[in-house]
Amino acid sequence: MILDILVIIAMLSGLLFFVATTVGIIRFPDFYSRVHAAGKGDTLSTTVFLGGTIIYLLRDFSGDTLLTAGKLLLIVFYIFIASPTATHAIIDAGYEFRVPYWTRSSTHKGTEGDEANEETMDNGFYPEDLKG
Amino acid sequence: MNLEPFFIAMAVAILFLMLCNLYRVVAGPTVIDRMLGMNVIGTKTTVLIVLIGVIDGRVDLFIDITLAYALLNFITNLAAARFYQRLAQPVPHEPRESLVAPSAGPEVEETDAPEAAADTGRKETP
Repeated sequence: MILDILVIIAMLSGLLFFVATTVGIIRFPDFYSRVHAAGKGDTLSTTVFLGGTIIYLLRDFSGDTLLTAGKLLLIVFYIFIASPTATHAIIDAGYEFRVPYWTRSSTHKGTEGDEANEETMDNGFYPEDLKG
Repeated sequence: MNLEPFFIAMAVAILFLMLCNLYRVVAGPTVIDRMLGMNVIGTKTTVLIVLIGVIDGRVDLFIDITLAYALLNFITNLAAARFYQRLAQPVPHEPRESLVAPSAGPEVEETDAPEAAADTGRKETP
């Protein structure tokens, strides 16, 4: 009973972190801040989710569930290392790509004819053939 | 306590949030944004496969698929990131003059010029 409540708490907190990650990815204005939201929240929510699954599996304790929980722990350890590494590779590629960064004056995207706004939007350039 | 409806609800919630992440993949301004969204979706697919195994009652079968999927997702993201990183670096088509001799000094060119003239002279004499 206590273990069930622990599983529910772990999975709900993992879902909360994943909601935060999704909101950050959708609503942040900049590539670099999106990476900031994705790299941390994704890793932590996956870890907490799989931790809850490990607790659920070890509820009825036997040799098979111990082996499966060991494999799940391996996956958790692997994702805890591999997900920040993949995020670092992606942001390194974006930095070499010269993805334009967000400045305060570039929030007013709708106002056209603002020359200073256009200058700050142009300070990081898109290579023409690489523009997604 | 029967936790199976809770797991189904969790799987549906994760699927819905993955669809929300798919917006960034579709409407991302650059290629790198799309890669970031696909990275998050792939990491969450790992969790989703484990949850499907828990609901199905055969986690020991699904756990190997999960491990293979996590490895594959990491390798794919790393390869795509390296590809676009190489693509962003321009390949120099012509050797520029500034690359030739910033530190060599003028003596090298002076010594090079008589050798070249001597080579052409030797070729012309026979």
